[in-house]
Amino acid sequence: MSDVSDSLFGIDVAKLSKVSPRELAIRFAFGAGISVVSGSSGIVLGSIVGGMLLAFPAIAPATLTLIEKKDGNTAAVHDVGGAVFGGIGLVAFALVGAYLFRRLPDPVVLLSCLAAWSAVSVGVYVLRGEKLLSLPAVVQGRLPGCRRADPDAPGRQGPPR
Amino acid sequence: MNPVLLLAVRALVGGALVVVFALVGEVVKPKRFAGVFGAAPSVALANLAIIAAAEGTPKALHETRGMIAGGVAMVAACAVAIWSVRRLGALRGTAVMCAAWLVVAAVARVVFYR
Repeated sequence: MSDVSDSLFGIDVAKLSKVSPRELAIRFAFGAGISVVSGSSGIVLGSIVGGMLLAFPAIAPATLTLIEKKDGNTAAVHDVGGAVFGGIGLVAFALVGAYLFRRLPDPVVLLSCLAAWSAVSVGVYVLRGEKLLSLPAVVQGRLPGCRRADPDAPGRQGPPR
Repeated sequence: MNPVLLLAVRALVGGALVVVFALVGEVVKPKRFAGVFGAAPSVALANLAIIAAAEGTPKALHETRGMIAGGVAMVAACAVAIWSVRRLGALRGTAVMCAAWLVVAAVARVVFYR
């Protein structure tokens, strides 16, 4: 197996200085908005619908638009490609919660759900990155860094060929 | 608890957790890994915690069961978005993404939850 950390993981804390309060406020607003929608829907349409909306991609329009504006379309595509793995983790989160609620104290359940999301989403990401996992063609995207420009580089980039 | 107050608390905590996970997504790289945090359970964690505390475990359990289908719809929507964002740009692409989520979620609601 190749050195996973070099190609699949990295941290750049300096990027925090480039995040504007406006961007954070937009994300806060979307997060608050979907929470209100989920809660209201739960009251009007029932808990199942309210629960479904907890996994609605409300933040995606703001996030991807901001990324495309700063780093280009390719970076936005890569970002949403990663969200597929996060979405798989969300299913794991919900399955663990559905099993553990009423069996364990609520705080333990929520921590377990978060652990399940982390393990599954990062696990699938690593397996996919190491080409140990095949996903249906419709969810495949190119891995960053290989054979073409770094999608994290600033500036507008055209769609990949 | 007053329903309006409960919604306000859910909004505040949900928004705050979204910001936390967004900041994590900002510092990690590459973009594909950062995208994982774009589908973080920030809203779910915040809201389920408040629901469990304010309305009880059974309600949190019901909402979590609904979230299973929501998560499946999220995977489908993100898969659609890989194509739609590339072809249509982020704004229109995510509109298509949200529409895909609604379709899959609606089908799941009808088929699996009676």
